[in-house]
Order: sequence, then structure tokens, then C-alpha cells
Amino acid sequence: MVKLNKIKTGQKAKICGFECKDTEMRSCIFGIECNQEITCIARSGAIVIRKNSQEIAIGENLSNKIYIQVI
Amino acid sequence: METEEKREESGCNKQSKTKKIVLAGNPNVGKSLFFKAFTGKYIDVSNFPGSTVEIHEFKVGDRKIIDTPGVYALSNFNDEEKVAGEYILKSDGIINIVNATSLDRDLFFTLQMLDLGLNVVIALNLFDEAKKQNIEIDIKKLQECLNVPIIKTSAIKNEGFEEVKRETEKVLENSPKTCRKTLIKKLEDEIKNKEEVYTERRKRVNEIVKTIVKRKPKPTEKLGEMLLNPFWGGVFAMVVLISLYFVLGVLISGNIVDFLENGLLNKYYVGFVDKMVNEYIKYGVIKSFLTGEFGLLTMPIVYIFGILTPLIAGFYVFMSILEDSGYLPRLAVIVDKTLSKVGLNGRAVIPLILGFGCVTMAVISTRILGSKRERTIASAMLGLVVPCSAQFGIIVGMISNTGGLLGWFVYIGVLFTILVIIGTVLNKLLPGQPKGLMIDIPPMRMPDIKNVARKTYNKTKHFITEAFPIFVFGCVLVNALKITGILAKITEILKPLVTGFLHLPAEFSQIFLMVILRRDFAAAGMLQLTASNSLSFAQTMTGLVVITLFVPCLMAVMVLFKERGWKEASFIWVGSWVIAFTVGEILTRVLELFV
Repeated sequence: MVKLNKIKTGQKAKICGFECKDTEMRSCIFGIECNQEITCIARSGAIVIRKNSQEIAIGENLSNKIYIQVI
Repeated sequence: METEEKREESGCNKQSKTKKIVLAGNPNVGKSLFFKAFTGKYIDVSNFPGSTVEIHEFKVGDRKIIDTPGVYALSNFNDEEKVAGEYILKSDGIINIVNATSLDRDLFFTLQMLDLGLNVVIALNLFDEAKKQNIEIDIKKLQECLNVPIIKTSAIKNEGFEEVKRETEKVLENSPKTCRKTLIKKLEDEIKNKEEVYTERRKRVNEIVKTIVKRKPKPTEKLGEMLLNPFWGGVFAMVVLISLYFVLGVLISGNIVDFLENGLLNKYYVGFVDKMVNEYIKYGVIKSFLTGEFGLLTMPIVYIFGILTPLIAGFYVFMSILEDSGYLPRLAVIVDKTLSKVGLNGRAVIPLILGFGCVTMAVISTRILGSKRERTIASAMLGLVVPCSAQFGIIVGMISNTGGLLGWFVYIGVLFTILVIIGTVLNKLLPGQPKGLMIDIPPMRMPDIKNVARKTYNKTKHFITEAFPIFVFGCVLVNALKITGILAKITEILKPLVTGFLHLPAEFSQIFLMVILRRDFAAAGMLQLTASNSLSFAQTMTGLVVITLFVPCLMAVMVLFKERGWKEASFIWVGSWVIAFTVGEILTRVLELFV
């Protein structure tokens, strides 16, 4: 299990957990929740992930509080 | 049961004649276009996710239409959510504008409002956009899932509004309003059990979207991905930012403003007013008050219509194109990491770049930042460090005349260091935490020219209406200081600071005073001194750095007071004195020692 800010471009991963409730709630609103599969489509300044066909940018402050399992 | 729940004894039986219809939805879904359709008024457009905290209301007969800030949910996460929540809970009916291209995000908020028991009509907006992106939505199934009226709309094409109005009227007539106290209690309970409630709600949204939405790959996907690539995205971002600077800072600020200010307004309007005042007014003091350097009849007109309006209109054209095309969130992504080191996030790139065109304009544009904390940090950076184009052009010339790269190294090095220190210190001292970036990246699309023109026109008009009284007040104040001799006294007081502290010629005390009023006057004044070769390298660089760090110009100060409030604006103003003179003192000693 690693933090989301370590994911590489093109890698697929599953969300495993969150470091704090605030991050979890904020992520939940965007549909980023435990067991959700995501793909990293860009790493430039922020991490950009694709979830289903939605693309979401997550800054460093938040991506280092989200745990993932690389698939 | 439902009727009992909705008509409680706690004083909710009193039904107001005026029904409140609230427009609610995620950021950037088109709420303001609905506001216009319902009221005929085009007030403000949410120009970046999470940008507007202002509420706009308009009464039409016995219906009050209320436009709320775009939010992703109702909780106490930020100012927008608190403000939107207040109005949504007081509503008689809600038109929930949902982006048909991002249902898995938008329906979260929809379900929350339905779970609370609010009266909702859903406008499934950007339906034409969804079609272009090969997204198919089964509206019948969605209607069965949510059990509320759902109308396909395209706000930009004026499609669907009449049906939304009809359905809203039906809801207002047939659905009783839930008591506000009940709603507040429900929301409070939800926030207490946020984790459980949000997880369950997210599951429901996912299930619904899985059932009703079918997608094929988006046509502009490749372009969108390229713009997020670290290399190509960075290249394109540089092109965009440099273009923004040249369009605003050089073309508009230089050529167009010069034509409007000097070629048109000063020549014809000011000339005419001068003539009339000289003809009919005898007293010199009153003449000076009306048509002097800060004349009440001349300065506000020249500044607002000759200088600010072209800059603001140019800014909003650029911003609207960047917004409408879907590029703005991508730009924020590219610069996010850098800006997060000084307590900002990617969105702040726009005001910071604009500051090099006009600090006044840039301070206004800090409205697009998501929190008060970020707006404070960005405004402080703009007010304390960033030189505007008015003086920057002259400064560039003077640095070039010093010969070699040392001048550039000193000037840019000092300013960059101060910028980073200010951002870092404020990030540490201000309460709260930086709000990390989490935004939707919309698909790229061709901006709609009519929409760009409409946004630009309405926002520029709104600015002029707000700014005019501020400038009139500014003129009255400056004239009062001049007439009473206070301005001259201040110049005398500054002299020891200038000669003893900064080792600069006494003429600089007047130059610094001119910075307060207009920065290009100050830079031009300094240009005369450097042209006469009476300044050493140390004096030139100290003078340039101090006039850059010194107080924002009068226009920027007035806008700072309006945008940030008197406490923060005063802090920035006083802080600029301290920083400018302290840095100047250190710089002059260092340069005298080593150069």
C-alpha cells in the first residue's frame, strides 16, 4: 500500500484508505472512495486520475493523504 | 405522515407570499444563465470552480429567484457551502442544475437535497454537450430513481427554460415546504455522521450512474491529456501566460490604454471640461478640485474608462475563453505544486500573472480563489511585491541602462526572494490550513463566442458600477490632502528616511509619494534622475527595488480595501512601507560594500 502521490502515469490502482476524515469526505463527494479503481493519467504539479470517465486533479496536500494499492 | 412532518408546530405554518426559488448546483454548471432566463438579469458568472460567494437575488412578481455559489455538497467545509446552505434551507423550491456530462459528481449534491426533504426540480444542463461527448443518459430511468421532475436543458442555447419554469411552479403549488428547523436538524445530524452518510450516498450515486449512463470515448480526450503532460502542458502554459501578459500588459495596457487615455479622453473630454470649468468657475481651489491632477470631473472618468475598463474587458475575454474551453483547470494543475509551497494552490496562477499587467485587476481576480486565506496571501503578494506594467516598462529600460546582467540579477533576485518569504510567512501565520487542490477536469471544448462576449460585457459593466464611487472618494481625499498642505508636509517628513536610511538623493521623497498616487509617475520621475547620470548603480537598484516594493497605487489600494476589508488592506499598506524601506536599507548597504 502506498500514497496516491507515488503513483506513476498510466498505472491503475485501487483506493485503500484515507489519512483523515476531511480528506475522505472531500474525496467521497468526487466519488473517490475505498475500493474505487482509478488510473493515473498525468503527474504534473498535481496528480490527475481517471475514475470511470471522470478526470479529477488532486494536489500534493491531498494526494499524500490517500492510500492506494497498485493493480 | 409526510404532511405532518412538513407542517410542524414550531411556527412554520406561516407561509410567506413571496416564494423563494433557489438555483443550486455544483460550480460551473450554468446557474447564472438560469438566473438570467428567470429574471432578465445577468449578474455574475461562476468563472472557476468555487469562485463566487456572493448571493444574487431578484424578485419577479411574487417569486424571488436566488443564485447561490456553486458547491459540491452542503456542509461546513468552506464559505461557499455555508452561504449556499443558508439559502437552500430557506427555499420554497430548488432548481438543481446538474451537468449532464458529470452526473457521477453532480448527483451527490442532488441526492443530499432530496434526502433532506427539499422540493427539487432537476435541470439536466449541458445536454447538448453530453451528446457531443457521446454520453447517453436514460432520463426516464433517472426520473424513476429520483422521483422528481427532470428537464433536459441547454442554458447556452436557451433551451428547456420554459419547461423548468412550469415544473417549478407545479412543485411550488403542490409540495408543501419542510420546516426550516427540521431541515437544519437533519443537516446537523448528517454532518455528525458524515462518514456513514456520505459513503452510503456515494454508493447510491454510483449505482444510479451505472444504470442510466452509457459512454463512448470523448473526441477531445487526447488534446486534454496532452495539456496535462508535464512537458507539453508546461510549454502550453508558458505560451498562455506569456500571451496573457502581452495582451493585457503590453497591447491593452500600452497601446489601447494610451489611445483611450491620451488620444481620446485627455485630449477631448478633459480639454472640454477644463474649458468649461475655466469659463464658469472663478476660484482656483474649486477649479483644482474639479479638473486638477485628481479632479473630481476628470480623474474618475479617465481612470475608469481610459485605463481600467479596457484592462478588465481584456481580462474577462481571456478568462472566459480559458474557462469555456476547459483549459483553466489544466493550467491550475501544472502550477499547483509550486504554488502550494507558499500556501496557495494552482488557481492562484491567474491573479499572480495578471499582477504584472495591473495589480488592481489582479486583486479583483483573487475572487476566483477558494478560501479567504488564499485570497489574503495572493493579495499580499500582489500588493507588496508585484510591479504592474505601468512601471515595469520603465523599470526594464532603467535596468538595461545599468549594463550587464547584474542589474537583472539583483532586481529579480530580490523580488523573488521577498515574494517567497511573504507567501511562506503568511502560510505559517494565518489560521487554517491550505486547501489542497481537488477539481474536476472538464473535457476540452471550443469556447462559444457569444457566451464569451456576454460574460465579458456583464462583468465589465458590474465592475464599473462598483468602482466609480470608490474613485470619486479617492479624488476627494487626495484633493483635501493637497489643499490643506498635508501632502507637502508628508514629503518633508520622508526626506530624512530617504537620504539617511536609503542613501538616495532627496528628490526620491517626492518620487515615493508619487508611487502612492500613480506608479508610472514615480518610475518616470526616477527615469529623469537616471538620465542625468546622477545615480550610482547601488542607488539605481535600491530606488527601483523600493518603488516596486512600496505601497500599491491609489487604485489598487481602493480595490484592496473593497476586496479584503480595511484590516487586511491596512496591514498590506503599512507592511509595504516597512518591507520597502527595510529591504532598501539592506540592499543599499550590500551593494555599496560589494559593487
